[in-house]
Order: sequence, then structure tokens, then C-alpha cells
Amino acid sequence: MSTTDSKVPVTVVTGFLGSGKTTLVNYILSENHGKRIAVIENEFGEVGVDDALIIDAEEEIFEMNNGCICCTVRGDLIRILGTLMKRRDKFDYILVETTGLADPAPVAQTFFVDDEIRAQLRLDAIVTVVDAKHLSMHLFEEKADGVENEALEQIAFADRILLNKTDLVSEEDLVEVEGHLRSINSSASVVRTHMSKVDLDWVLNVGAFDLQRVLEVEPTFLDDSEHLHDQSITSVGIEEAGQVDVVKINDWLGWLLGEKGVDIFRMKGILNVLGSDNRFVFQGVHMLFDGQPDRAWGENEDRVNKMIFIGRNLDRDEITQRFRKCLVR
Amino acid sequence: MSGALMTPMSVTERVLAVLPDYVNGVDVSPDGLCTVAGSVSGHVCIVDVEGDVRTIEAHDGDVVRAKWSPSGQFVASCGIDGALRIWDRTGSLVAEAQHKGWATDLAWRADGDEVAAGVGRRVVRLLPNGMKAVQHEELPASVECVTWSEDGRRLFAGHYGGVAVLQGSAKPVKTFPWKGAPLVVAASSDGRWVVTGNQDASLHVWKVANGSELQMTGFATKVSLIAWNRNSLRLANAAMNEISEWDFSGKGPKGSKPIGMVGHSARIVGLGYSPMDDTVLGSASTDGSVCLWRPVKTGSSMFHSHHTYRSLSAMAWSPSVLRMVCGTALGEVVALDFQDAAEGRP
Repeated sequence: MSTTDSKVPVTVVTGFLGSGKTTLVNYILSENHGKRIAVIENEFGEVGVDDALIIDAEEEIFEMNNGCICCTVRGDLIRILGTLMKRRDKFDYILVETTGLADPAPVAQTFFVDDEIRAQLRLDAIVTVVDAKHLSMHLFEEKADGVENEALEQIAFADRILLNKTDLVSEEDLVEVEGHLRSINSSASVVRTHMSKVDLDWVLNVGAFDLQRVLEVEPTFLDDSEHLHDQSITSVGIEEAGQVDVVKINDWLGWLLGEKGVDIFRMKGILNVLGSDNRFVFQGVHMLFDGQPDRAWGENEDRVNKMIFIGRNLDRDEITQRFRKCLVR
Repeated sequence: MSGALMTPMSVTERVLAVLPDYVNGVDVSPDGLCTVAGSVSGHVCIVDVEGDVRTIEAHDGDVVRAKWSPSGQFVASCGIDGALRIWDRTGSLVAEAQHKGWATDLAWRADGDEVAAGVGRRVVRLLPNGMKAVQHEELPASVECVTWSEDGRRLFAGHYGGVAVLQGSAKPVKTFPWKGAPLVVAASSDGRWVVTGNQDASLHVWKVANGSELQMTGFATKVSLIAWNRNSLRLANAAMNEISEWDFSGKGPKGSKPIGMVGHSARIVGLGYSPMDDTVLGSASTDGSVCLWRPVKTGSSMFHSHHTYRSLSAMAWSPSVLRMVCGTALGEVVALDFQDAAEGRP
């Protein structure tokens, strides 16, 4: 039994200005019947439905230095979520709509760093809305050194991607855009939408951060050759049979979080550990890591180690080679 | 010295008032006779000497704090509507100030009826008599907590990035910079120290005279409550269900180990030394328990605990008797009177 059920789920909706975020939030509010939903938004978004509580807040980022773990969290969210959790008539669902320029990392990390929030809420999924017509422009926009390309980061962080405004683009262009999306983030599911209309079950209660559902969606692993040129943010997938040594794999994870944590946006994985009949599952956001033994491997199940890392400047060979050293030969 | 023995005590519980929802703050008047409480429902209630309850629709949205003035003539409240309001004992509005953003904390000056609150990025000051209060400029980040120095000359405002020291001018006269997010701030009564409890599970300590600083880490969670004893030789803090007490006598706590106190099973929501008996530290938790402690280095510091079977949300001591007033998650305001069972015997 997990305690997940008693926690209120939170969906984070990101996407560039004009991509259709607010349209999606309004669509969820109008399609939903019987749920009490609170919406937290950081820019004036014209969200408006009678039953929902709408809270505007100014984005406020806190850098935190907790021993060896550095991360950023959102001070405004800690304050607002803290208030929402005190109310007697609790909300069934919370939607956080970020600004078009928001970095998703502090939003996600807030749900793992603050103990009160962690005890009562669960981050369900990050849903990114993408404008099919203007995506390429945003992706290839030249940024000065050290300036983040938020469009890329929002895609890299996503669990679900709505490829929106498909009516404005040819089939050929759509296929190309879908290829771009997969090369950045191979573990997110992508759906084509018009006016952000989507099956609510596809965006709500997804359980993307639920360890027991790690890699429920099979990532599509691409070769290096399929990646876009000059693209710094990519997915690295590892799929290797064999058992891993528990000491070596701990060292490997330590190295990964310590050395690459800043560059790894999201990671998920299932490991086949020597001496255990249970799968070991993990997921992480930058340096924040969560892992535990999971259910037993099925009798006819292939005991394969599967992992996906999404991040900036990831060296596929280095990560893979170091992982292979953990395998018991 | 070995640990204190559990003292048999009789505890009398009385519900003073019931608000519609979660109580965010309670306070007892300086004469010990009246109580005030604020709720996330937007209501403030004042319970008078006779036990009569006056409920005010004080704010649009959550009331964050409600506190008595040192003279006992007024109550101040602030809320997420960005308003700071002063009420008289009958619940009539006396003064108000409205600013952009959420209010997070308020504090009365110890030596006069002036109140300061953190609202958005600003420290807002308000006087009950219609006099114009000092206006302060916006600080670099949202103000999370405010407190006055004992002499009423300085205001300390904790915000992400440090603590701003404010006096009679628009800009801070000094800033104690630090890269972290303070949640609570308290100044020692002797004026030597300013301490913050922080989001990143630490305590940060500044010597006011020269700005030298200390950082205490290793708490399980964020430090959301701190309390000085009256002569400022001891400071207690709470993180989740654990209390620590630090020795600030002499050169201060540098390099020292705190006294650890664990008696609650869930988050502590109220912490303070009894004004009546300064050796007694009281705490209240969401698990429904209240504990009384006499902190000792070895053995158990707890000398009494009592279960209310209510999810507590706030706590304040009465100034004159061993009485706690607690708020609950369901909106009740409950008085707990502690009496030595031996003394109570006929």
C-alpha cells in the first residue's frame, strides 16, 4: 500500500507564451465535473471558472544549500501551497500554471524539498504545451552564453507534451516537430491537440513521479545520429541485461548526482541488482534522488536494467561505460 | 543533574471559542484575561474577561497572525489580502494599511502601541491613534518574518537573502546578508543576538554589534519555530517533531551541542517559555499533544505531557498563570490550565 492516495495531486502546466497553457487550464476546469480544483498562476492568464480558486503569485526563486545538495525551490509556491493545505474543505486537485519563461526545475524541486508539502501533496506530472507552428523558432533561437533556452528546458522536464495548434501546420512539419521533441525528451508521451483539447485522463493523475510507475511508458531510444545538430539538451537511454553490483551501482549513482546532477534534469530507471529478486526503481530531478526496492521481477520478465537521463551536455559514452563497470560479469 | 521526573499535574481543558476553520494564530492579552485568535476563514475572534466571544470578519482570505498590543488596548491582525488592521477590544476597526502581496507576520513594539508587518516585499508600520507611521521601501524579496528589538528602536525583517535592519528611515540602516530563506526571526532581549530559523533546515545567528555570524545545521526539516527565554540566555527551536535548546550565555553557542527534546510524534506548531515560570518550555503539536519541558543535558527534559485529541495548529502562553491557549485545525480555541496535582489536592 502506498500513501500516495491520501495526497493531493498537483499538475504543473508549462509552455511558451501563446502555446495554449491557459486554454488547457480552462479546458480542464470546464471539462471536469465534481472535483474541487485550485489553480496557481504566475501571470495574468484569464483563467475563469466559478468553482475553482485562482491564486496569482509572483514567481520567487530560492537557492538552497542543503549540505552537499544544491537546488532551487519556489518560495511563492511554498507559501501558497502551505495555505491551501490548512483549509478544512481540501482541494481534490491543484494546477500550477507557470509563466512562459519559467524554469521548471525549482517548481518540481519544491515538492521534494519542503517537508510539509511533501507530506500532503504529490507532484503528479509536468505537462508541457508546445505550439507546433512556432516550436522550431524557439528551439533554434540563439541565446547568449549562460542564458537558458526555456523552451528546450520545458520540453526536457515534461512527462506529457501537448503538441498544440496542429491545424496551423502541415503533416510533414508535424512529423519533423515530433522528431525534435523525441530527440530532446524520449520518455515523454506526445499527443497532437487542437485548442488544447485532450483526454483528461491523459494529463491528470498520471503518476509520473510515482516510483512504482517508473518507465511505465517505454522510452524510445535514439541513436546519436538521430539527434539534432548543436543541440545541448538530449536524452540518454541505457538498456543493458545483467545484474549490477550494489556497491558499485551506489558509487555510480553518487558520481552521477555529484558530477552530473546540475546537468541532469530528469532521470528514471529500473535496476536488476545482484542478490535481489525485486526490481530497484529510482527517479530524480537534478540532485534530488528517490529510489527503493519495488515489486519482484515476473517469472517471464526479462531482467533488464533500463534508464533514461534527460539533460544538458550529457556524454552518452561516459555514462554508459561507467554503468557497464557496475555489471557483474 | 539527572532528568526531571514526570510531575503529576491536573490539566483542565476549556473551549473558549470556535472559528469556522484552521486557527493560524492565538494570543493572550498582557493582563492574561482575554484571548484573540485568527483563522484561515478570514475571521478574528476576541474572547473577553467574561468569556464572551466577539467574531470579526477581519480579512478577505486567511488571517495570518492576530496579536495583542503591549497595552492590551488593541489587537492587530494581518492576512493574505495584504491588509494590516488594528482593532479595539470590542472589535471596532481603529486603523488599517493595505499593500500589494501577502502578509506573512506581524509584531508589536514592546514599549508602545505600534505594529509592524511583512506585506509582500515591504515592512508596513501602523499606529492606532491616527498618527503617521514611518514608511519603508520595498526590500529585495518577500518579507517572511518581522520582530522588534526589545528597546523598540530597531525592526528586523527576514527575507530571502538575509535580515534587513530598519529604523526611522525608508531604507534599511543595515543588512545582515546571507544566502538563505528565513522563516522566523527573533532578537534577544539584551540586544546582542538576532536569530533566524530557515527553510534549509538551519538556524542562523548574528551578533548585532559586529554582524559576525554562526550557522547551526543538521535539523531534520526546516526550522519553523524559535523562542528566547526572558533573559536571552537560552534559545529553543523546533524542526518537525524535535526541539533543541541552545546555551547563549557567555560567548554564545559557538561549538556547543544543544539539548535535544523529542516527545511529539508529529510537527510542532507552538513553542515558548512560560512568562510565568521561565524555566518551563512548552510545546504543542499537530498530533494533539502538548509537552512541558525543563531542559537538562542528561536524562529526560520532559516533566509533563497531555493529550488533547485535537490537531493543534497554534499555541500561546498566558503571561500570569501556567495556562496555554491553543488553536486547532478545526477552528477551536482551547485553554489548557496546568496545576500541580499535589497542590490541587484538598
